[in-house]
Amino acid sequence: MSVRVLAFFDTRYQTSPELIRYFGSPDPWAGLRTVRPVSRQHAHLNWPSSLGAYDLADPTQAANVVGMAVKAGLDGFVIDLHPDGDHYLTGAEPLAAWCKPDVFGLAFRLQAGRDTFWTAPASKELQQHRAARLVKALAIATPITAGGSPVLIVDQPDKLADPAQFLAILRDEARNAGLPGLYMIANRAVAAEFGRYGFDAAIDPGPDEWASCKPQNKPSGLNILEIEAGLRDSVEMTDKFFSYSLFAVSRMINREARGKVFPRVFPAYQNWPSHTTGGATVLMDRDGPGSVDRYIYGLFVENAITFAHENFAPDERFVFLESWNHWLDGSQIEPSVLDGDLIYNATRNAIDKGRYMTRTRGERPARQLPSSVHDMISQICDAAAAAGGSGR
Amino acid sequence: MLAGLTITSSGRIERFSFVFGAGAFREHEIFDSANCPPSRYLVEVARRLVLASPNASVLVIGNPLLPLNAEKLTTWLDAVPSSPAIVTDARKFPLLYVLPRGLFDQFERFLLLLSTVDAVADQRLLSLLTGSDVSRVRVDSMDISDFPQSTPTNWFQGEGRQRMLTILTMAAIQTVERTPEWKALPFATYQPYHAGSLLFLNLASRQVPTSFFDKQIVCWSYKDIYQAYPGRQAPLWLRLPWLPRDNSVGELEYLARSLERLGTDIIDNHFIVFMRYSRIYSASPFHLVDQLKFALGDSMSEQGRTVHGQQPLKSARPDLPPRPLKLLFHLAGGWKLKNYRDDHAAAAIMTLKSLGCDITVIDRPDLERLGITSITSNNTQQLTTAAQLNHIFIGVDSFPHHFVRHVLGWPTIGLFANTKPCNSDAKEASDYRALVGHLPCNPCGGHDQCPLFGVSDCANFVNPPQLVSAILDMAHDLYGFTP
Repeated sequence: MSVRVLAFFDTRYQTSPELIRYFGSPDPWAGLRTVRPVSRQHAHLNWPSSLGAYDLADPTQAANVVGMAVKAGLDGFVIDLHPDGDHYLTGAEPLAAWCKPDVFGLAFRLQAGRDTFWTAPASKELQQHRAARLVKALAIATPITAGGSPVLIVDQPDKLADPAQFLAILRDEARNAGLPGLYMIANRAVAAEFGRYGFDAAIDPGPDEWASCKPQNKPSGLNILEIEAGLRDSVEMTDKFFSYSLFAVSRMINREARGKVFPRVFPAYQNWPSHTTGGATVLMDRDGPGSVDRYIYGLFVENAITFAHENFAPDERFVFLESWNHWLDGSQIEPSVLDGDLIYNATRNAIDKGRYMTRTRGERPARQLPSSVHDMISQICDAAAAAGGSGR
Repeated sequence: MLAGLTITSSGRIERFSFVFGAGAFREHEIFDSANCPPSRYLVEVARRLVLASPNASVLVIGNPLLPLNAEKLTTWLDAVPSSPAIVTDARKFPLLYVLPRGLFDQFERFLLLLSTVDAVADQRLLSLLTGSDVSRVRVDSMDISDFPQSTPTNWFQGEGRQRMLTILTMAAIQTVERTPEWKALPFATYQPYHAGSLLFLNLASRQVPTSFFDKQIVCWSYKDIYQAYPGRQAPLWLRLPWLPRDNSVGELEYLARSLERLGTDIIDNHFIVFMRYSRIYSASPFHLVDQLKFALGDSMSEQGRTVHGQQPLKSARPDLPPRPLKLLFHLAGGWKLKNYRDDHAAAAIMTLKSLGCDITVIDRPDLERLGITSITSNNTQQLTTAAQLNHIFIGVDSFPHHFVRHVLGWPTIGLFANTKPCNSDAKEASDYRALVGHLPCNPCGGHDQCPLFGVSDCANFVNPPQLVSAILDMAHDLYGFTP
């Protein structure tokens, strides 16, 4: 099976009454329309071009979105489960209508930190009830599966009151609903951190949760005094600025050692709209914040695909793309007014290249020697490296 | 970003737009090759147009160097009085070529001689080829200005390279003017250096059933490579040392010296086509052998035509007992970032030695301190002998690696770092593995210093345990060797 590329998708851009109520605005695009940067170091957000300010509730517009994603080589979207009372809203229904097995499907993500039910202790009965609701929300579409089980990403698994019980109950309820189980992915940079609870794999955290290299800005004492005196932009003290290339490269260094952690790739990122009083993460390329280094981004996608191909079992080869339409953090690959279809095309090209490489390379033969030999090799190499190559 | 129109005798116009392919081989994609002149894309677009519109009598082809679509071409077509014609910008940069279908049918490969950067030279050449007047129409509102060194569509054309293309078009004009039997003259590739490129060209030429070329210009200093693995093209020996990698001699200057050295007799009796890089080769996912196959005339429209889509040409094994496991290393490439790190090499070598391996290294006497043997390999014969005395060859992305794998078919492990394996590795098999990290800065184009971290080693090499594991896995699989 080829490496599957799934993009995070924000379903808020629709006029379904439930979503309008949940997000609190009759205009799904109001947030993007009205938000303004308060610093010169925050780039203006972008605006959709060829797909327009779509309404997913309109089947034609939903079909255009899915069609364009398929054309880019994506295998599916990852949709957020929004806790709403005692059930979950996804807004995935308009997209589900256009999904097709083996062509395009949907996976889901639960942001545990935002679901107060799972962060606090509760009786088993209540948990079962809640889990059944969650599983019901997953059952609306052609699912993305691994090992036959629908894929569910759990953000901030450390916030769960009892991760092991959460997994066990959810899997039980999935089986009760007739599913073979759930393929659970923890949002973690190192697979072992939550693997012990029974997660099947992990996914790199987002840029705001895991700074894979040091920030470029580190205000001096003088800078701080200047900021306090109103002589300098305060975001230099409150926000973190990173070089996009270093950020992307450092995520891929020696990543085999992190275990079964699926790569998360992104063309850009700046989440100042959700950090109006500071604390934003801003990635910059040579042209400053908000701009995209398409060269490094394309290679990020391409190398993530070859990495997944070489390191994971055929049915578990995933690369996650942040994002299809997270306009509010500038990571969207949808065609836009400022970038045209450059990022969209860079994504499609990178996926084509990655797939060509993995398709023609075929399956790498399984390791011939037992793992004990490989462990021994590592130990001897370490000892040899410690000896400094002096031949001692 | 490649475009063409077809016009039938009744005046019906059909529009076609194409893009450079990235490995999916869709119908509207054209193979991405860096090793050919821009004019090779004129030929390929013409082929596609004729295939799609067999009754076309006129072919209109946009300049491949420009990001054009079919709609744009139609806006310039109105001003064209007749075929053949060249539409240019306000100066003399060609925007599109209007060619009679018969020219393509009869003289397909002669289109390779068009410079695509100088409409005056191209007009003269087309006049000679067609034996008729060729009109030149200027679009005053469009000024391409100075065509840049690199473009978003991955062309890599400095001013010097554009002058090289024009010089070779002028040479072709001279050839046609001086030689009455010009139609029967052979075509020769101009790719006299470097060792790896020559080897890839010869590999490619053996895989192209119908090539544009009969000859190839080769530096005399690579005679042993040519003799060890000749292609289908006869050599035209160039008695010049190969182009130094330190940029002390420019490519343009080298071409001028080459033409001078080759002499009038060669020039008057051959058509010479530029075959060094015109595009960024690493932007393409295709092997350099495949990129050269396209350059030689293969349309490369199916995955099955590619190096990675086919079985290896040759696979061989040594006649050696399995123990001790004998390994031949080549750790230094053509530039610093291609070299496997000294401390990592030492750690891997010491580990392998402690596990019962017998190690030889090419041209690294400094590593003899580790109790291994360093040998010299100054020619293909020495390299062949050395490889055949070892079970496995382990080499960086450089000529010895490519020769040992592609020509000798020897069990090989490739060590890649700041270049992409897909451009120069071999088909993955039980006796071939390409090892590389997955950093998104690869390929960086750096030579002596990492553009990101400023150091002289590339962080994208695999580490010693990964290298040693790969070697021992292959040795176990092929020879039953267990440490």
